[in-house]
Amino acid sequence: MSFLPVMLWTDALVFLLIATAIASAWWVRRQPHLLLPWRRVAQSRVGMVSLLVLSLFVLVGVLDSLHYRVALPEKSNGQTVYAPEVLSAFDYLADGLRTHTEKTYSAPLAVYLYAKESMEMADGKVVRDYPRLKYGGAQLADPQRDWLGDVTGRALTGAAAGLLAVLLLAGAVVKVVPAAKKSKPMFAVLVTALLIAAVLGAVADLATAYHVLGTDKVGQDVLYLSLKSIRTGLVIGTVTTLVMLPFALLLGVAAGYFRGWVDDVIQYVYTVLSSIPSVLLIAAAVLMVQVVIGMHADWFDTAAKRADVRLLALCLILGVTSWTGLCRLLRGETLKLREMEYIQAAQAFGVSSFRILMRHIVPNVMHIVLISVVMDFSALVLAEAVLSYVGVGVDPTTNSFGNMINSARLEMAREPMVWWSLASAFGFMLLLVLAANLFADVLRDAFDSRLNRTENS
Amino acid sequence: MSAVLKVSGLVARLHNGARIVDDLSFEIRQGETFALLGESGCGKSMTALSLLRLLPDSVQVDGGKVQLADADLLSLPERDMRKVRGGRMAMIFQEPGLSLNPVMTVGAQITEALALHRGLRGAAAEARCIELLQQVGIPDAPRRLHEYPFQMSGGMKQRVMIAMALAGQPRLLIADEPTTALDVTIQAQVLQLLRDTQQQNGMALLLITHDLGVVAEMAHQVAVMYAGHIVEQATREQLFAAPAHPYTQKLFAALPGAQRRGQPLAAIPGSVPPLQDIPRGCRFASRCDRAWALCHEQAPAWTTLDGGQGVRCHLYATADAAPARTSDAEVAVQGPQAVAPAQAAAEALLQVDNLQVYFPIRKGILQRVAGQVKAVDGVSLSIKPGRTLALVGESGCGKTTTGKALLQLLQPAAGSVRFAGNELTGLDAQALRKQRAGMQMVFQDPYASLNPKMRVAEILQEGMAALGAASSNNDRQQYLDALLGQVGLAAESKWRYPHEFSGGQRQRIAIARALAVNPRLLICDEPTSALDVSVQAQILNLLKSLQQELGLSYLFITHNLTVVEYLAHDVCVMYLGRIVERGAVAEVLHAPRHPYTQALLAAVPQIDGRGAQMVSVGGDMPSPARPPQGCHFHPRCPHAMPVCRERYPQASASGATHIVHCYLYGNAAEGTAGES
Amino acid sequence: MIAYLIRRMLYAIPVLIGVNLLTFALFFVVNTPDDMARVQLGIKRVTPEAIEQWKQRHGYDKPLLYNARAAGMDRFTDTIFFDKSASMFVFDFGYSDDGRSISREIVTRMGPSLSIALPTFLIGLVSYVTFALLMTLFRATALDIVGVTLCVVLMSISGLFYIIGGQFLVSKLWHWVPISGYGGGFDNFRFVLLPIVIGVASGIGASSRWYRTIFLEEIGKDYVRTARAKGVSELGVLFRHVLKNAMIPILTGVVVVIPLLFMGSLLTESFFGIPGLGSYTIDAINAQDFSVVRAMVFLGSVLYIAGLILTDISYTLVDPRVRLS
Repeated sequence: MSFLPVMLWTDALVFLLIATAIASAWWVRRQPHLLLPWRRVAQSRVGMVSLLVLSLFVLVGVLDSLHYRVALPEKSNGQTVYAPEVLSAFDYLADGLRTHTEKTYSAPLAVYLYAKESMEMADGKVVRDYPRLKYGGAQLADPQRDWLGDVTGRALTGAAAGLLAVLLLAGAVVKVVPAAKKSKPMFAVLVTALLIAAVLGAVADLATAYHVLGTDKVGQDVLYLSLKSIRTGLVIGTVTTLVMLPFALLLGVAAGYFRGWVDDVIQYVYTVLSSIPSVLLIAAAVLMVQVVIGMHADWFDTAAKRADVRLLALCLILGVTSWTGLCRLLRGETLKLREMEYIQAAQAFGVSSFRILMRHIVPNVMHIVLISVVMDFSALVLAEAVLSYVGVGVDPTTNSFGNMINSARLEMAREPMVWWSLASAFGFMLLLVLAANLFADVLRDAFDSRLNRTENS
Repeated sequence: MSAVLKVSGLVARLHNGARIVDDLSFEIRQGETFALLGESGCGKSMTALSLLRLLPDSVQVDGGKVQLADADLLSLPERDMRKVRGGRMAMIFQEPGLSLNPVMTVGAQITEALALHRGLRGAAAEARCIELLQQVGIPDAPRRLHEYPFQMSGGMKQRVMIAMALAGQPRLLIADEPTTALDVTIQAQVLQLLRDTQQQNGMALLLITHDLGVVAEMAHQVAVMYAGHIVEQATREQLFAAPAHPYTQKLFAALPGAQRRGQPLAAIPGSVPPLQDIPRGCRFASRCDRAWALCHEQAPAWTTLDGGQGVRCHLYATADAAPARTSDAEVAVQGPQAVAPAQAAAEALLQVDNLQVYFPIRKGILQRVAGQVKAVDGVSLSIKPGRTLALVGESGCGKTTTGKALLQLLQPAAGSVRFAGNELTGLDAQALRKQRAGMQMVFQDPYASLNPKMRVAEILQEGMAALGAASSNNDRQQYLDALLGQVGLAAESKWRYPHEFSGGQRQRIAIARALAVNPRLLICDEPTSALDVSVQAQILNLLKSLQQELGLSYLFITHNLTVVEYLAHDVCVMYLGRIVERGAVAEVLHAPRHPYTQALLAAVPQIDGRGAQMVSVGGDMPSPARPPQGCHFHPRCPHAMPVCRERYPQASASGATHIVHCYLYGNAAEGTAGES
Repeated sequence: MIAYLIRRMLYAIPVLIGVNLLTFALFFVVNTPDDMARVQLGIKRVTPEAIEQWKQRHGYDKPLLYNARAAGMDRFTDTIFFDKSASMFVFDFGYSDDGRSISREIVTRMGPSLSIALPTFLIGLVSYVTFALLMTLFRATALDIVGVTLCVVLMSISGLFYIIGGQFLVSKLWHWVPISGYGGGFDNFRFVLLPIVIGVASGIGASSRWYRTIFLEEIGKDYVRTARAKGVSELGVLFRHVLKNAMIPILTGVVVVIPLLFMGSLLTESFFGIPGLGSYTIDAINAQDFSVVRAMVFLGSVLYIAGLILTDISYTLVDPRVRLS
């Protein structure tokens, strides 16, 4: 099967981000004083456990960022034609989940549809009852009798397989890096890993035969939708920061160091930006982007590309509205740093302002940047849901927690209630944000236990 | 007299088990001042806090007994302990600026203590509060009552702290470095106040200090602490006459002063061991030049000598086993014994005329400049090659501003700075860079003067790179090694980061950084005031030997007159932005003419063990934003005349080099208002 | 002090001009008056004449920013930008796309917004501070650890969840109060109760944790040690000494939002059907009504700047060291 790799804008930025992260990690490794706070993070149980959870999310997100289009079997004029649908490596791995769509709602692990239908029985009579699902539990001959046994069996074997895999992996790790055995959070990480592996194993095994989290209105697997939403959350949480970082860093540091009119101009700009209620600014900007995209539909050859540009635009806009806080923080810190004696020593050598900024100021504010990047991440993930609800979030065709909640919240009124879509979206979001918040806490303590978050002007 | 406080076997430890206060025993009698002397990090503040049971969360008392009169403090329930704090036992702290609640009036803070311990409220409390403020010498007490701490000077704040401590009529007052943050004239006032108070109400005083001078002035009994232990305890007379412990002896020998001029100070090598890894044997052994094998293995026991003097040292426990004492001459840093002869004929390297640095005061809707703070107001000075000029003054007098303006780190408002014949003011950045190599600065705080994110090598190379001293990498590395060797650091240190060094080592790096560009003049801004006495001696020795080797000139900015006496050739005394007296060290320090210089000298505690002397000058230095009319010193001057209130005195010479701005002398009375 | 406040108020003028320019640019860069006219007129009636007529009627027949044909100051004043923003400065917001007066709409909708936002703010502030004080009092004990963990979990939950979950539980399952709606008089209590409770609950995690950090920072300072050395009890230290000092950083974050309370909350109001400014804004966004969005942006900015000035004034009340200059 031949395919055409597709690089969406946000994919490119995600990979750029990963490359930056790897490069800085490689660089930090050789700087003992920079490594020091990271060692403190590595010594923290909460830190390592939340990092483990986060990295699983990131893994899904990265797999979901490797996009391609499948070649269609028929050719036109000898040229290969590719399907309009853009898929990802994650879709490939979770092909079963993606393609096994039912007719409409079904509850988690159900074998029957949520709604009654008129069915023609074998004897020609038309009965109105809950039909069997096309895929969920299709292998069961008599669901009433076999369902419980089958579900428990699959859950147990899956969990056992997961546990075994982690234990083997841990054994291998200890063999290769004996020091890992003595590491303080090792036990906590192992327990968490076993727990996660058991759950994942059980879910994976069940997912081959059931819809573990049910299906939504058009019969899509909710587990699949939730996993697909992870990428959107991660992109919004990270790419936004990537976009705003250069502005915040450069302007904040410049304002603090040069003072005078430079400071006045920069302060004016961020006062203007921060005085506009951010939801309104985002709304106005998103409306604008919608108009542009609407007017230039011919720019995009696939729906995925159009949705991606809208996601990117949202990141840019969020970046514009969120850099002011960090900028103000950095300005305050630079004002303090510029009075430090080592800055004056550099000035006494006639070192140029640019060099002083790059060598003395920026390295000494990087911990603030790092902390605020991690702290912003969870706020941005949460903001996506709210913005999508307001109608100025990501494209309605993009899988995101906000869109899931938005389309599911009206179903709470149904009888019996359709709760699983909403619960999965909130559950996954809580897990992601909680892990990020806990990690941010550990990071902040490791880098600066007395960072004054209340710094004003 | 009975003992007010009796401490026996007190131990405090960190959570990791390090005993930062180890087996402390002492007694304080009524009306007695007991001094706890030691360098930073030796556990003296922790001792005080454990008496009050106010230790930080990371430290806990782990044994021992504290008896205040008849109460066993360590076993009191917290409720009763609160009655002791501020009641029978009160405490004052080092930083009066931080120790008072910034958003409460001083009256409210004192009244709080009165309400807690004397049950006084309302008018009665206020009346008592005014009484207390008057007792600690705060003028205009009824008005001051309603002021906030930020409206008071440092000395005033410490007086308020004392008033607050006296509110509960304590039987024991603990004073933790009560004057370290204060200027020397204010220190004299506060020490006098403490003595007077003690005489009036007969309380006991536990004085915690690092300053031998303060001990000499105040103490009846002295305990010397080192790394958590009391290593020596004696009466003041005994200690100053014959210090027993090698550490105490070294502390005395490390003090700079006139009598040591021309010879290196006996610095104690190394620094106080960090609290986390206290050595097994004698804690001082690694720095002691008289240590032998036993000292490194076994902690010495407490030995009582004749006359009640106690010491914790193997020298006295097993006197015969000790090796013969090495003479001081062998221990001392090798170096030329005499100061290079004054090159009176030489051309001045730095010539400063009428330097003025003003900071604008902005007011109103449009932020117009409404006035100027004349931080430096017409300073003139000159330094010859190979000489040291000391710029002396109290905090806020403009001496640091002068230093920065000389380096053109601040834009002078007027005046000229000629360095090696070239005018520096008004140069653009490019032209200035050419001159920068000649003049460099060493800063006060070794923790703030090195970028924590740069290796030592990068720090040292920064100036060379900026000033375009390009050379091959190989040459440069050799040069760095030589440089580090010159300041007494190993060549390997260049691959390390500043946080791995102690304060004294950091100051050496800072000196090496300045030396890297081959300057001819170093501006040293209080380079030793953040260091312990023993480390200060190392840095002073280094500066002195560098001057002899390299022919450097120094502008030495300091408030410490004993350092001046030891190191400088010439002195300028600064008060409120102006130089009030200048001359050779011998002239200014031994025959001071300006009343301010006289007051400054009189305020320095004398280390002769003879006890206290009288306060020489009252009041505080006025704000430089509103200097007094006429001679700036007249409101505090005991000799002020009507003319002093009207015009600033002109210079009057009393000798070839000795110049003073004062109407008391000669033709100055006829002078005009001068530069202002 | 007065001079300082006047200076701050004068500074608001260029900021507001900047705000207007920005919103103006955002909108007109992609949406020319011609486009607006086309959308408003509908596909069928679009003729060049009709467009011109529409533009003339709505005041869009001038250049956007700079009128080259005019003379003198008119070059800047005889433009769409000037016409549309100058009136803003006297709080004349014009008419929404459905022809209603925006100013009147704002005035009538402020009441419902405030009836939710103000109690939420006050009850919230008191409960967050109380919770934070409790954690500070029991710092480094199990109670504190549980409290902080709870805070982190609570702040990791989406605000939407509080609303949807709260509505489901309280209104749908238990039938305690109506799901949504708004009425006048005393009866209104039933409608605003749930939004207020949910508003307070959704903020408790982040705010309490932040205040706790501030309290802990203050409690480590030297003056606290002095107070303890004086014999003040732990409660006395917390209430007489720490609380007042901690108010300074707390005010920075709190006072600035007080004027913004008028704007209401977007989510709460739209979920609970409160006819306030928040739901007005959401409706305008969904209807792409630029006039209303721009009016709300301007109003929000004015209130934010007012908040900044109020913050400065509040400093002088709690911090004797601040003399505004």
